[in-house]
Amino acid sequence: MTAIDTTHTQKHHDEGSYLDHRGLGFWGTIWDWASTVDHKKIGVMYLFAVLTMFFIGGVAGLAVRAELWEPMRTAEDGTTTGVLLNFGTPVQDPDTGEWIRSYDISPGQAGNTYNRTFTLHGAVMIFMFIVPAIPAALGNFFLPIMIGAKDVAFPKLNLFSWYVYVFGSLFGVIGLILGGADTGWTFYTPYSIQTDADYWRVTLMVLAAFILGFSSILTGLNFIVTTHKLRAPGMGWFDMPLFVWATYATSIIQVLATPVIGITLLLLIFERVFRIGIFDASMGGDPVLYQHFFWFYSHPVVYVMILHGIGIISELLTVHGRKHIFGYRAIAFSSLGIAGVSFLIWGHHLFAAMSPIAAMVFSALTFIVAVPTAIKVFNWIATLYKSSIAINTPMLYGLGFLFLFSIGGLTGLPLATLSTDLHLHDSYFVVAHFHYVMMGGTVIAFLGGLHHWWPKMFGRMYNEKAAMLGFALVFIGFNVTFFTQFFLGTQGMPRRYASYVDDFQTLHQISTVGSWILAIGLFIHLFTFLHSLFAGPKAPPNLWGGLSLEWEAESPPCAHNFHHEPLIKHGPYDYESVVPPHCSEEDFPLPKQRS
Amino acid sequence: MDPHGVHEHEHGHVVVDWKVLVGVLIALLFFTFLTTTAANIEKWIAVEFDVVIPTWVNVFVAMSIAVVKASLVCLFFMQLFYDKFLNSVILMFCLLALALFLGLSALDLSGRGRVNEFIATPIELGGNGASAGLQSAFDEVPVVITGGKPLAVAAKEAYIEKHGLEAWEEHARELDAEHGHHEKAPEISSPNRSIPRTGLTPGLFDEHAPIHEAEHEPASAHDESTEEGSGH
Amino acid sequence: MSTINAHPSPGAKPMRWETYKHEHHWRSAADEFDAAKLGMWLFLTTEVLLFGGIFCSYAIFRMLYPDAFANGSGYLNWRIGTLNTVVLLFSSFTVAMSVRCAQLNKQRWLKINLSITLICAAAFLAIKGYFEYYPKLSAGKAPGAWFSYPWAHNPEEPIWWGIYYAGTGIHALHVIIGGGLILWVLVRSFKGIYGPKNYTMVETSGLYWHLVDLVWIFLFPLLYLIH
Repeated sequence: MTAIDTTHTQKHHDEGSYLDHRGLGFWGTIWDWASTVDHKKIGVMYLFAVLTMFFIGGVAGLAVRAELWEPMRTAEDGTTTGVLLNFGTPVQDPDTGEWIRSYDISPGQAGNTYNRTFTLHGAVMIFMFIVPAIPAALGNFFLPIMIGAKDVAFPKLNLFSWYVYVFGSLFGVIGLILGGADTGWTFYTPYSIQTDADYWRVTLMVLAAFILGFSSILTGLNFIVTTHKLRAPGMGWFDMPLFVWATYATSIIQVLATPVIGITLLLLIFERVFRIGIFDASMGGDPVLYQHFFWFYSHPVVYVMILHGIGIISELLTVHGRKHIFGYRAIAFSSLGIAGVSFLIWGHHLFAAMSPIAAMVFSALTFIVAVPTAIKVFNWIATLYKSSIAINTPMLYGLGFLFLFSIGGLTGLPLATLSTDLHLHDSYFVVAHFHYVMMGGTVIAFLGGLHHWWPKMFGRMYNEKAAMLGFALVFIGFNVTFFTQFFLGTQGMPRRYASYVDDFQTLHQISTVGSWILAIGLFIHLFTFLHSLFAGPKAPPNLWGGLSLEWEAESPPCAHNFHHEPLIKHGPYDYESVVPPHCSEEDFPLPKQRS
Repeated sequence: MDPHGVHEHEHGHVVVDWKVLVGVLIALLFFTFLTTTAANIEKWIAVEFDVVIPTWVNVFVAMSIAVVKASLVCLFFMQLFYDKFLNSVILMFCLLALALFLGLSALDLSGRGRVNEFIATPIELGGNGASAGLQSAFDEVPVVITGGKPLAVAAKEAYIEKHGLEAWEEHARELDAEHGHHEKAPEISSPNRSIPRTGLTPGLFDEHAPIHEAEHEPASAHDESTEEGSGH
Repeated sequence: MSTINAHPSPGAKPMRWETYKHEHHWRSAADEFDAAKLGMWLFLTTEVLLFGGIFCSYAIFRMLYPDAFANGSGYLNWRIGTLNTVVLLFSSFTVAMSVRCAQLNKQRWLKINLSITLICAAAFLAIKGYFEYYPKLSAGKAPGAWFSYPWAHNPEEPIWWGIYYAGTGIHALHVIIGGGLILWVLVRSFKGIYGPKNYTMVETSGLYWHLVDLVWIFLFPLLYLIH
C-alpha cells in the first residue's frame, strides 16, 4: 500500500476538490450545498441523510429487541409485567368525556406501543434508508465518474429528487411525532383503514412513502439515461465496471415498480379518507387485492436493495483480491435477469391468502430467481480463487457478504416452498431470512462500499484497526441476533408479537444481546468515520490499487471529476496486465502468471 | 416529397409531414366513431332480439379498437415510428410489466373460492358498511351508520324512511323507463366465484347445500340467503 | 404549408433559440435532446404503470362483480364521453403540430397550436366537471361514504363509483398537470426560446400530453362503452 501522506495540513487539503469551500463563508457554503447540481455533493447529502435514518431506524430496532427481553405476563390480580415500551393510549374519561392518555396496560393495549415501534423500524429502514442508500448515496457519487462523465444526465432533476426525499421524510417524521402508525410497514388492509381512523398519522406516513417513491423514480430515471448517453468515448457496455451494470438493473426496477406502490398508497389514502371500499371487505372490496398491489412493488424493491449491493461486492472482491472478475458477462446479464424475474414472483409474500393455483404458479416462478443469484455467488467464489486477498475492512465485508447473503438466499427456499411456507409464514423464520438478505446482504455491502470509497469521497483515510474491530463486532453481533431467530421461527414464534410463551425467552434474550453487540460495532464505525473526517490522514488517489475510472480521479475528485476527458485504455478488471493509475509497480506488482 | 411523409431537418431531427398528422387525426376520429357505434349496435341487438351477448365480445371489440387508436397516437403523434427503437423498447417493457401485474393478480382472484369453501359465513355482497361508520380525520366525511347493511342498501332505506316507499317506487319506474335496462341480466356477482362453476364431479359440491352443512349451525340469515341463491 | 422562415434577415436581433447552448456535461446538443426524450419516455412508463393500478382494480372488480359494472356503465352518458374523447384527440393533434411548428420556426403557429391545446384541456375539464361530476354528485352517486343514491341496482355499486371517480379523478389531475406544462411552454414561446435549435421542452411536454390522451383512449371504452 502506498504511503499515506501526513504532511499536508488540513487547510490546504481540499484545494480544488468538490469539497473546497474557501472564500464562501458560512452562509455561502450552506447555499452552495443547498443549490448544488453537482452529483457528488448530492450524493454526500444523501449519504448523511440515509445514515441518520439508519440511526433512527436502528434505535427503534434496539427498542423492539429490548421489549422482547421479557414476555408480558399477566399476574392473577390482573397486572401485567414485562412491558418496557409504553407511551400510553388515548382513552375517553368516562366521567368528563375528555380524552386523556392512559398508561394502564390492559391485555388488549399492552402491545400498542410495541406495534408502533416495529412499524417505525420497518418504515424508516425500508423507505428512508435501504432503498435510497446505495443508489442515491454511492450511486449518485460514483456512476458518472465510473463511466467518465462530468455529471448525471439531468443534474437539476437530481437536486429535485433530493428535495423530494427530504420532503417525504419530513412527512414521515411528522407522522411519527404525532404518534406513528401501528399497522406494520406493509399497511395491510383492512386494519390500516380502520386503525386510528380519526387521526392523520397513518395518512401522513402513507403519504410520506408515496412522496419518497417519486424520489426513487427520478433517481432511477436519471441513472438509466446517464448510462445510455454519457459514457466516455471508448467505453462500451462491456467495458463498464459491474457496479454500473448493477446501477442500471436497479434503476430499471425502480422505474417500473415504484409507480405501482404510488397508486397503491394513493388508493389507500382514498380508502381512509373517502372509504371508497376497493380494499375493504366491509364495503364490498377485497383486502388481498391490496396485498397484490403492495407486493408488486415491494418484491422488486428488495432486488433494488440487493442488486446494488451485489454491484459493490463485485468491485470489492476484484480490487482487494487484485484479480479480474470471473464471468463478467454472466454477472452483467444475471443482474438484468434478476431485475426481470423479480417482477414475476411477488405472490410468494401472500401464499397463505391466495388461490391454490396462483400459489403454485408463484412458487414455481420464485425458484427461478435463485438461478441468476447463484450464478453470481459462484462467479465471486471463482474470482477469489487464486486471487491475492488483502485483509482490509472492505475485503472483510466482501467475504462476510458471501457468507451472510448465501444464508439469506438459501433460507428463502423453505419460504418459497408452499408446504413449508405454511408453517413458516409470518414467523420469526421470515424475519431472520429477510434480515439476512437485507442487513446481512445490503447493509454489509453498503458498509463495505463505504469503507472502500470513503478515502476517495472525502480524501481521508480512517483507522483501519478500529474499522476491522467494528467489522468483527458487526459480524458477530449480526449472527447472534438473527441466527437465533431462525430457531425461534421454526419453533413457532410469530412475528410482530410483543409477547411470547416462556419457552422462547432464552433465545429472545440471546438475540437481544446480539443486537447490543451489533449496535456497538456500528457505533465504532460511526466514530471511526467521523474521526477520519476531522483528523484522519490524507488519502492518496489510489490507495487500494483499483482500475476503474474513479481511481484515476483525485481524492476527493475535482469539481468536474476529471481534468481532461478520460481515455479508456484498459478494462476495469485488467489486474494482470495494467499497473493501477497513480500507483507504482513496486507497491502493486503485476501478479505472476496464473493458470 | 418524401413518400413516407417525412423529411430530414438540417440537424437530423425528423419533421413529420402535416398531412400525416391530419390523416392520423381523421383515423382516430373514425375509430372513435366505430367504437361507440359498435357498443350501441350491441346494445340494440341485445334489446331487439332478446339475446345476451357474452361480455367478452364487447370487451374484445372495444379493447381492440382502443389498442389501434393508442398505436396510432404512439407511432405518429409521439413519433415512435421515426424515433430510435430504444424508446419503443421502453414502452414495451412497461406494457409487459402491466400485463404481468394484471394477469397474475387476475389468476389469483379468479380462482379464489374454487377449491376451498372454508368461509364459515357467507359475505354479503357489498359488505356490511362497517367502515362507513368510522370517524374520519377529515370532518367533512360523513359518518354513515348502516346497521350491518351495504352502503347502497342503507341509502335506499334512508330514502324510503324519509319519503316513503311509493315515492321510491315511482322514481324507480321513471328511471327504468328512461334507461330501459333489458330484462336478461348477465352473470350474477359473487365475491367468491366469478364464473359459473362446472367441475368434473357435478353434485360433489353444491353451492346451495355445502357438504358440511350438518356441522354448521345455520343462522337464520344464512338460510335466507341460501334460499335467495344470491351472494353465496 | 407556408414558407419556412428558418433564417431571419441579417442584422436582426437573434431569437433566443438561435443562441441556445447545450449544458456543459453533454458532448453535443443532439445527445442532450435524445437524452431528454429518453428520460421523458421513462417517466411516461411510470405514469402508465400508475394508471395500471386503476386498470387492474377495474379488471379485477369487473371480473368479480360483472352485473354491477354492467349496470354502472349505464349511468354514464356515452355522448359526453365521446365529446371528451374528440376534444382530447384534437388537442393531441394540435400539440403534435406545435412540435412541428417549433421545428420549422413557425413561431406564430406554434403559439396558436399551444393555445388551442390549452383551450381543449380546459374544455375537457369543464365538460367533465359540469356535465358529469356535478349532476352525479348532486344525485348522490358519489364515491365512498358520500354514496347516497337510493336507486342502485346492485349492493356493490359503490365500488363501481369508487373506481370511476378514482380513475377519472387521477386522469383529470394529469390533465391539469399537462395543461400546466403546456402553459409554461406557451409563456416561454413568447420569449422566442423555442425554435429549430431548441424545441426539447415542446417535444417533452407534447409527449406528456399524448400520454394523457392515451390513458383516456383506454378509460373511455372501459367506463362508458362496455356493458
